[in-house]
Amino acid sequence: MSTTSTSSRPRVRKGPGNPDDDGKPGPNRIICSLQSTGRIGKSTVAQALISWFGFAGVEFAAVDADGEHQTLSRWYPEFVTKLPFRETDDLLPILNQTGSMPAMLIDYPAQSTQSLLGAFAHFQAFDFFESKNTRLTSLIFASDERPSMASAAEIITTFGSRSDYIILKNPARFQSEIFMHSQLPKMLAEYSARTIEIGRITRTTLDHLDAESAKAKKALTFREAEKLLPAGSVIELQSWRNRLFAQFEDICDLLLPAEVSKRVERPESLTTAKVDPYSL
Amino acid sequence: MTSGDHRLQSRARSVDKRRQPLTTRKRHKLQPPPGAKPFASALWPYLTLITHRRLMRATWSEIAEEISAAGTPVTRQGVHVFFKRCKQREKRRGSSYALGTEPANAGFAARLGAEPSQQKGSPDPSVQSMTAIDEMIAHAQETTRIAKHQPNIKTHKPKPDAQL
Repeated sequence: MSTTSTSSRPRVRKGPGNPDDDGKPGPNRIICSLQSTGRIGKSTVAQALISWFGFAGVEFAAVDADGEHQTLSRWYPEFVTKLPFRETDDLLPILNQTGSMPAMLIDYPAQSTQSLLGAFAHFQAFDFFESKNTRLTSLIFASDERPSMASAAEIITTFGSRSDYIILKNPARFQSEIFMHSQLPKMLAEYSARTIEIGRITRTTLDHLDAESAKAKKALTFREAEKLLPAGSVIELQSWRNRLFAQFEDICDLLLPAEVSKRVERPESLTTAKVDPYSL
Repeated sequence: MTSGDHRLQSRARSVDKRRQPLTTRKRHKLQPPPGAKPFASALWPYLTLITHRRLMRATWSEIAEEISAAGTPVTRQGVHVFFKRCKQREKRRGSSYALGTEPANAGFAARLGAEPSQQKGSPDPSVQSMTAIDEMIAHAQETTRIAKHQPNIKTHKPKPDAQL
């Protein structure tokens, strides 16, 4: 069976988010983004996910397949395995370990959608995943850039219902207006894609983070940097992380086989009051 | 001579030209001289060197200088185009030129076996022992990319509330 043919099987998603769930754990998960645009926040989301796995005490494996930038492995040298993706063969080690852990996170490089889809087709990866009780979760970034949208369409058309999808909005990098008015949200709605919004981090905090990383001569993660940043930046980063963790918990069934026991505290957000000056 | 005569003369010339037998016309494609070999780039013996130097992040200019110093004058564009063509061929073939077995180096390897003394102390970087080149490449691969035979992916089971 080729991965290029879309399956018409009914989609059965077991796990904590499914009301028809029979209590059994869902499939193990491979989480990755195959989109071909860089600088859209792929590694940042991967960092947030690792941080969440750590917080929730979930067993995971993380692979940095971006041999050029190695962003993720620079952040977590002790947790992340470097397996640069250059050709079809490079998918094999990942397939070999499929199903041995609840969640495997892969940070693929930009500009490699075609070769990745080719590699998935070559190894009939989805049949293999199914045999190992594993399901792919594709992260689709709602970027307005044409190549990004084109590669998203390629991924969705190729994988179809064999993968689950999460739409990621990252207002710090893109507006998502063109994306949301395109055919893509409709295509994704067919597969019950859920949406996550990555919060914005102020330029000042990021500048502080860069400065501390330069001082430490190491790429610091947000957690590591928190001990070194001013109080305001620490609060901002903590809030950013908590909001993301809460969203991850909401779509837990797409990220993990079972629900997490440790959950983040959800503070009430401060809503801005709107006052009509003429009514006063 | 009137303009009409001119026109007639010119027409007569063109008619004559058209009636010429094909064999007498000038050929655009030159015939190779007898006994000539098909073209092969002079850079083939330097492929391993170029690969190695690129893995070590040398610029095209630096590589071109090295090759020129070794006796094959070449520009940086020349090296780049050759290397790019080589990689495209690898893509088409679906397999890479195993280092040291590309067309020119295959002959070179055979030559190495036949004339072991000739290679010693040669200033030509292409004329190095194959083991030395292999070592260079292996070292470059170790330092610049992950070897394919270490695919074990680390798994972690953090304690809850781990500060990752």
